[in-house]
Amino acid sequence: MSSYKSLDLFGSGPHRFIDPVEGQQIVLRLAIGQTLPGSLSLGAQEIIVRIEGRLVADDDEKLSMKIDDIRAQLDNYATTGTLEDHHGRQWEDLRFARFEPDGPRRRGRTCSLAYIAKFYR
Amino acid sequence: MLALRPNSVTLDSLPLEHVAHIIIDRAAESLIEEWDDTGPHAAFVDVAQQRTTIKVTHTVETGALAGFAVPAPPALGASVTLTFETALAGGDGARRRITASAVVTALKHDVTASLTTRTITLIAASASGTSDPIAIEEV
Repeated sequence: MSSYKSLDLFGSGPHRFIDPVEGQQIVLRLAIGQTLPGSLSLGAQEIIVRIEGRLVADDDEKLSMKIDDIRAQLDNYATTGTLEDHHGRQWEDLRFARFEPDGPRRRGRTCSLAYIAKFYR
Repeated sequence: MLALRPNSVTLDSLPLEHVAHIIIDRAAESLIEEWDDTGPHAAFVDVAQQRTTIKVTHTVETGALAGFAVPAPPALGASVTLTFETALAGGDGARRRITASAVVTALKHDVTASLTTRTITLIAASASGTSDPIAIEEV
């Protein structure tokens, strides 16, 4: 089971973790006003962990309740927490920044919503 | 669902004679398949949109080409109510009446030396979006 701040926010449906980009954050010199060739580093790349998945509930109302639980954590952006994936890998001191629905709610046997969630450090 | 030689077939209350069979097929029009990080197999499958297709095949009297009580078959795009009765063994036991609201999407004729048939293809529509467009009741 995955978790954020020890809460199971995404366990209602399948979800996958996308590892963060590692290394330096590189920008073109031209992009910051230098009329010089090449790029430079602004420092270490910020850590962004993405989760792509689908929330699943029996009906619309229960799906909305799951989104409310997620929204409550988004409202706590100021506080950091530990994100843990299905296999026990942990990323510490992450802020839950965004929850992006990826298409409409789908209504079949279940009511479900695809999403992308983003955590920043 | 397959109904061989169904009885009392009507389209918008107009009788349709010499019906050989009615086929009702269902297929996923929008399939959700999701995998998670635990392994190679799909962890979630659901059908978010489905299509119910009805094919009514009836024989047409040679030379008349008017198997309906009215001169012409339904027009493409016409919204009609299809009803018919059928039983598992073709007898009177456990008879069912099937009713479907549907839209005509194709008319096709097949002509052989001895037989002319017309197949009317319809796509069933649910008034609410949630209820099954095919209603089955005991007669």
